[in-house]
Formats: sequence, structure tokens, C-alpha cells
Amino acid sequence: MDGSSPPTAPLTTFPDGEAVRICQIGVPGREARRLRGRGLHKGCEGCVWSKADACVLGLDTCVFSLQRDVAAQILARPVPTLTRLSDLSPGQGGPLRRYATADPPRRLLEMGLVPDTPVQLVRRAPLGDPLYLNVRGQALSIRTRHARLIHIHTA
Amino acid sequence: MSSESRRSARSSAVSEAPLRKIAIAGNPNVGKTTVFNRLTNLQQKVANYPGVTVERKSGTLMGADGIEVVDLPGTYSLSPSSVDERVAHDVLVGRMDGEPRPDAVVCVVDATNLKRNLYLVTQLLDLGLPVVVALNMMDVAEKREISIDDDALAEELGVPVVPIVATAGTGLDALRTALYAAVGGAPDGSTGASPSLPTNGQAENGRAENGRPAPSSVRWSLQPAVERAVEDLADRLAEAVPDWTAAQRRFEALSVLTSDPLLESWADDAPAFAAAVRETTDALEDRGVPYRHAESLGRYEWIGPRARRVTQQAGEADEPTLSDRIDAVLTHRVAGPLIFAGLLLLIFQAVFSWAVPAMEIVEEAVGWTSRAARAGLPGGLVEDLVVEGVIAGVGNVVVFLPQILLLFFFLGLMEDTGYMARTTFITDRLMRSMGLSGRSVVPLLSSYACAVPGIMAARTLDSERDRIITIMVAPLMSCSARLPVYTLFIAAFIPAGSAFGMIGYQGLALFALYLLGTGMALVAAWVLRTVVFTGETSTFAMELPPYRLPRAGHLWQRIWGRVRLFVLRAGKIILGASVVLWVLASFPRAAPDPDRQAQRRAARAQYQAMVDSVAAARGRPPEAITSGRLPDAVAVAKARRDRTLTAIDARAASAQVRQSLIGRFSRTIEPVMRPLGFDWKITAGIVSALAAREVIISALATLYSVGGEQDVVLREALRSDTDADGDPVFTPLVAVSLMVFFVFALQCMSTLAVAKRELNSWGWPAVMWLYMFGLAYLFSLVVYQGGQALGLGA
Repeated sequence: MDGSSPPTAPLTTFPDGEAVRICQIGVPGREARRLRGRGLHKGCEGCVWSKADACVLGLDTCVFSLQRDVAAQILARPVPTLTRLSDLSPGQGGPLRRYATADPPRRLLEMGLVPDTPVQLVRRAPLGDPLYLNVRGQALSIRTRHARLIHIHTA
Repeated sequence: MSSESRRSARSSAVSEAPLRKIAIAGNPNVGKTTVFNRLTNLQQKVANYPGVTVERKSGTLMGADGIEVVDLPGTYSLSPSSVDERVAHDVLVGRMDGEPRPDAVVCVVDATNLKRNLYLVTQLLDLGLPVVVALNMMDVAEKREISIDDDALAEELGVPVVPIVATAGTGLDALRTALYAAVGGAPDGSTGASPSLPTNGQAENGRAENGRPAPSSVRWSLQPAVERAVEDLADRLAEAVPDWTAAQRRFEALSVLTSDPLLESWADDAPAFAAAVRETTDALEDRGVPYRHAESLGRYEWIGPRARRVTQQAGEADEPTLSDRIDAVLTHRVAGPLIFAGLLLLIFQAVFSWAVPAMEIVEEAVGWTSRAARAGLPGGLVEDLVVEGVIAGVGNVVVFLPQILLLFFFLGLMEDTGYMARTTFITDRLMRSMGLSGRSVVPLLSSYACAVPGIMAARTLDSERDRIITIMVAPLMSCSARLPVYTLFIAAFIPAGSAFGMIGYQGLALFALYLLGTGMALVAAWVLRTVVFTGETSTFAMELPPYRLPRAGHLWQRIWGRVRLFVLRAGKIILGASVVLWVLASFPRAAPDPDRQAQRRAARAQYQAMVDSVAAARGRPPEAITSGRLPDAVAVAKARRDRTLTAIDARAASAQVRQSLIGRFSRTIEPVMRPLGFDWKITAGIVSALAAREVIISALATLYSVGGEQDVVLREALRSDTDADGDPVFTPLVAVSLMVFFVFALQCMSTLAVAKRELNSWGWPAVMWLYMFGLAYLFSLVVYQGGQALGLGA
């Protein structure tokens, strides 16, 4: 990592839906083994959001519901190459990386918004919502509320 | 219903032959309807699936009488979350009441968007039914330099793949052949089969065994934890539906895992299974297994590489297409809304003004028919029933046709070109803030002309909830039938002056009435959304299909289908209501009044005396005087006689209404309407206008004994009417109260009939009538009592 990469911070400090890379798992032995057994390890990438009094970490294969004190001992840094679809500016795009939720709207998946699919934000509607997307040459319109759940890989 | 629709006229000769059924599935906008039209040669029946508003379109496969083709609603998936998907799912799985499971499925696939379309194909393959893939839009794909190896695709999928161009009819023979093979050859009794068609050929690309492609299942994989759960649940399902195949059970277990409506339906049919599903999902959730999107990801993982392998794209994919360039203007943040507003103005103009000449012709024709009927029928009750009940009822139906035709022409154009989706895109945000969706804009604005086509236009809404809300509030938009009522009372009771010398009070009053209705429609929508339809709204993900040139045949079919439905379904109800209202106004008969009889005789005698005296003076027989040109004195006497007779008839009609059930009913409920300022005559006018608002004018004309519908005379009669104490019946305040009542009250049988037809139940129309009547009563009460309290009652 070069010096310009953002500093690490506890999982609990990230805003909802932020894409993070895990840098350090500072939890005691047994708990750490349990987490590792289910696929959490240094360097893996996912999203965080909070739910009730738990901190949820969503990886591609598993969703962890962590207690706040456990989550506070896991350090991560934001992934600068990932942007929420709703935050793109018109004309910008890239391959879909993942959904920042354990329960992505199935309709979006069925209509082809699946990981690795190239997505481009073409324009926003006159009142800013919904969005006009280009998904593999197909024009698709979804609402900003749902676009916030989608992480796009922007190089 | 299904037995009726399955029996086509031509198949009666071979009714013993087993009936085979082929379902057509496919994503929206892939040309499914065109394929259906081609396969059935437009010999179709439209019905409704039981309990839902989804249309069941079926027909006979061209050239094979014993094979029925059913067009399923266009869906992206078979996992039921929308009503359309639920219907497609239930039919294909075999859970639709009165609808036996089809014997084969043809899936129409858009060649230009193979990957997304294959999603549905993989679901169909899992069902274990023979599947034929119709690879449509090969011409468009060619233009975009996309080439698809259909043999390789058939190899990958394990089912026949037939490349077609549905719009041009290319490849349809091959598709039919593949379908015959899929259902095991054309049935024996198919005498109507065209000899040019092979009836037991091999499928184009499929590995047919015994002329029948083997059901195939794809080997896409689920995450192990989810796979185990699905297998467990499929086993549990065996207890509930032992006659299902393993493929059917597995598919259902997978679907029920993520579909709440489906789970609810099983909770009734097989409680143990539903409980097992709940346990399973809870367990998966606890273990953090992302099971909800496992199916979608698993399928796409399987599809992705295979779609790439069979597709070759020479051109640059990023190059903007013609559609992209058109959209740069039509969905532009400034130009887009302006163009849409302009188009709406045009549609408005058309429905309001261009339809008027045609409506006048219809009214003329109805009037002519009435006169002809009166001339040809024996007088008395039968004549009255035919003219005032039946012909007037039919007229009430037919008079809407010009507006409906015009509106559906424009709507059809918008849908067929693909512009409709853009209007949703432009207006969605605005409409959402009021509890509606972008697709509600056109139906609601159409309702300014007439709620009947407006409600029918709500079919374009794909969310059932939005559709119900839109239909429920559409009749609050002031329609053109209210206009004559508003005009009469405004002209009679609102002063003609103007505020600040610019804005006329009368115009202002009219505008206020429109505003009142529209405002209430938005409030009602918001209330329905926040009180009745609470909870998460359905996910909005809308395809913006490429622009296409509309085709006249398709457009006409669309318009004609809707017009036919209106005339046949709503027409019956409207006609019935007209006859019932006629009966209520005509019975019991008023006893003939001896005074009026004497007056009639006197009027006739007076005229005869004049004729006789002129005849005597000229020394010619009276018949010679009345034939040919009348002498001036006789002409004057004749006119006076006719005037007198008309006046006597009008008084007799007034007495009849007073005497009739409507009259009696109105006098009974007068105390209830009194607080709104309405006496029994106004009440009788309102009751008579239950079927159609504008009827209140002719009803008041009858009650006030004004012969014919002479507005000016009626206006004077209304103004000068007094009650028993000599106070005027109609004050400006009463007129305002009555107009406000008409803004809200649902005085339109056609609207109720069409709402019943569109919502497939009497429940919603009943709620609609009640809430609108409640609003009408409440607001009129506030206007009249408030006005009186402020001293405006005089």
C-alpha cells in the first residue's frame, strides 16, 4: 500500500453501505477462529451497514452480524475504487461489484444487474430520480434508493 | 370459463381428440404477442384468470385444431412477486385453478439481449416441461452485428432453438414444426391441418426422441447450504403434492424460499410444508447464508459463459444506437418534460374537441333511432321502455366510443413506440411524492375527458397496488360529463362579472371545481397509500425498450380489443342500469288526470273550431284546409295547440316522476338531503342521474315541466322556483352546494362497470362509490351549512 491510501478505522465507524477492505482482525482467539472459519480474513472485501445494535458485514459468500464491541476491534479501510451507483456522474460506469445488503431486490438481479455486469449511468430523470442506466446496451431505469445498494468498480 | 375458452368453434368436430396445450412465455418487449398472433392466426379468445385481473389470451395453433396456445403474461422471471409472475408461475407449475398444466412451453427470446432472456429459459428448463426456444429479433441482432450460433445454443440448453423474425413471419413454420414435436405430433383428428406442414417431423435442432424432445434440466448450481435446504424442502413437498414430478417439486421449493406470496398460498394448502419453509429460512438467516439472491447468482453464473460462447458481436457495443440518440432529447431534463406536456395537450385536445363531432353524430343517430322506434312501435309502455330504457342505455354506451377510440389510439402509439416507459421515467419522482407512480400520469389525465378510458388506461401499470390506487382516484378528476352540469348552474347562479376586470367569476368558479376534484384525487391517493396500502412498495426496475415504429395491425388490434371489452362487458351493466332507472321513474303509473284530459280535448277542439270556421268561410271541406299550405290563422292556431299540448305533456311527465318510485324515494330521503340545501326535486334529479351525471339536466327539465331541454328556459325555471313559504328553492348557495356534490359523487354507472371489469370484483367499485358519495355529502354539507352560518343563504 502506498502512503496515500486512507487510514484504517474500526468497522463501527463507517457509514452505511460503505465498501471496505479488512486490514486487521483484533478479536480474541476463539472468536477470531470462528470468524475465519466462516470466511472472514485479512484482505477480504465487503460492505458494512448497521442493523439494530449490530454491525453487519456483508461478504460475497457470507453475511456477518457482529456485536458492536467485536466490530470495534476489526480494522478496515475504505476501498477507493468502489463507488455507489447512485454517486456516479452521468457518463460514468464500470462493472458491478456487489450489493451492499444481504437482501438485494430480486427484481434487479433478474433484470441482469448481477456482479461483473458492466453498468453505466446515462442520465438522471428531470427531478433527479429515477436513474437511466445502460446495462450491456440495454436501457434500464431504477430508483436512486436502489442504486445506493449497488457498488460499481470504477478504475 | 376455461372449458368455454378451450372449446374453439372449429374443434367441435374433433372434440374427442385429446386437447394439447402450449404456453408462450417470455420477457416483456420481446415480441411475444406477435409470435402468439402468428401461431394462432389471430383466432383468439380473451378471458380473465380466476380471481386476478390478468388476461388469459388463448387460441388454436394454426393448422392443428387440437392444440391450444396460451399467451402467458410477459415476465422476467417465474419467481412470483408481481401478479403477472404469479399467474405465469401458477400455470406452468400446475397450481392454477381450472387450468391444466401445459404440455410444452415456447419461450420467446430477444436475440439482442440473450443473457438476460436466458434467465427465464433456465427457469422453464427446471420445470421439466418440453421447452422450445424461439430466438426472436434475429433481424435486429443482425443490424447490430450480433450473431448467435443457434445450434450451439440448442446444444448448451438441450432443447430446440428456432431462430425467427416474428414481425416478418420468418421461421414460423419451423417453430410450428418444433412445437408439434414438443407435444408429440399433431393430434389425430386435426383435419384442419394445412397439408404443407409436416405433422410429425423432427424438431429443428432438438434431440427428439419419438418425435418428442426430452425434458431437460440445466446443471446450474446453488451454494451448497442453499442446495441442501432446497432438497430438504422438495422432499417435504412430496407429502403435500405426491403426483408432482421431482423437477416440479424442486422448482417450487426453490421459489417458495424467496417468495412471500407463494409461502402464504402454501400456508393454506400445506401448513406443515409452509412451517418447514419458515424454519429453513430462519436457520439460513442465522447462519448468514445469503440465500435470497443465491438463485439469481447461480443461474447467471451458469448463463454468463454460455451466452458469451454462442454470441459473436462484431460492432462496438458502446456505440450509441438510434434509440440512445432519441432518448438524449426525449428524456432530457428540460426538453423531455416539455415534449411530454405538449403531447398531453395534444391528446387532451383530441379527446375534448376532436371527438365532439363524432359524439354528436352518435347522439344524432340515437335520436333518430328513438324517433324511428316511436314511429314504428305501438305507443304506451313498450314504446317508452324501448326508447327511454334500451335505446337511451345503448346510447350511453356508444356515446363514449369516439373518446375511447381516440384515447386508445394515442395510448397505443405511446406503448407500441416505447415512449410510454419514458413518460414513466420523466414523471415518476413527482407522482411518487403523491403516493402514485409515473405510470399513473396518463390514466389520471385521461380521466379529465372521461374516467372510463382513464381507468382502462391504468392497465399499463404493472404494480397491482399502483393500479388499484390509480383506478380508485381517477373518477375524482372532473370528467367531460360533469361539464354540462357545471355550465348550467354556473350560468344560472354565478354572476357574470369579473374580478379585477380580468378573471371572470364564472370561469373562476369552473376552474375552482376542477381544482377541487384534482386536489382531492391526490389527497385520496396519498391516503390510500399511507393507510390502506402500507408497507414496502414493489421494486421499481423498468426496461426502456428500444424505440420501434408502430405497426398499424398491432395498434388496431390493441385498440379494438379494448373497445370490444368496454362495449361487451361494461355495456351490459350500463344497459341494465338504464332499464332499471327507467322502471323506477315510470312506475307506479300516475292516474290520468281528468283536468289534463279536459285541457287536451279543449286545445284540440279550439284548433278544430278554427279549421272549421276557416273552411266555412271559404266554402271548402275542412280536410282541404288542413292538407297543403295552412292559412295563416290556422297555422297560428295549430302552433298554439301544439304548445299547449307540449305543456300539458310536460306537466304530466312531471306528475309521473312525482308519482314514481324515484319521486317517492326522493321525498322520503329529502330530510337527509335537506341539510345540503336540496329539496326533493333536486334529490330526484340526483337519483335519476345515478347512471350518468348529465341526466340531471333532463331530469330537472322534466320535473320543472320544461318541454325539451331548453337551457335558457330551464335556467329561468330554476331561478324562479319557490318552496311552500315562497322562498326560492335555488339560491346561489344551493347551486354551489349541488356543484360541489357533483365534483365528488360517483354518478356514473359506466365508471362503476368498467372499474368492476378492470378490478375483477364488486368490492372496490362499492368502496369507490361509497367514499366518493361520502365526500360529496360531507363537502356539500360544509358548503351549505357554512354558507348559511356566514349569512350567504339568502
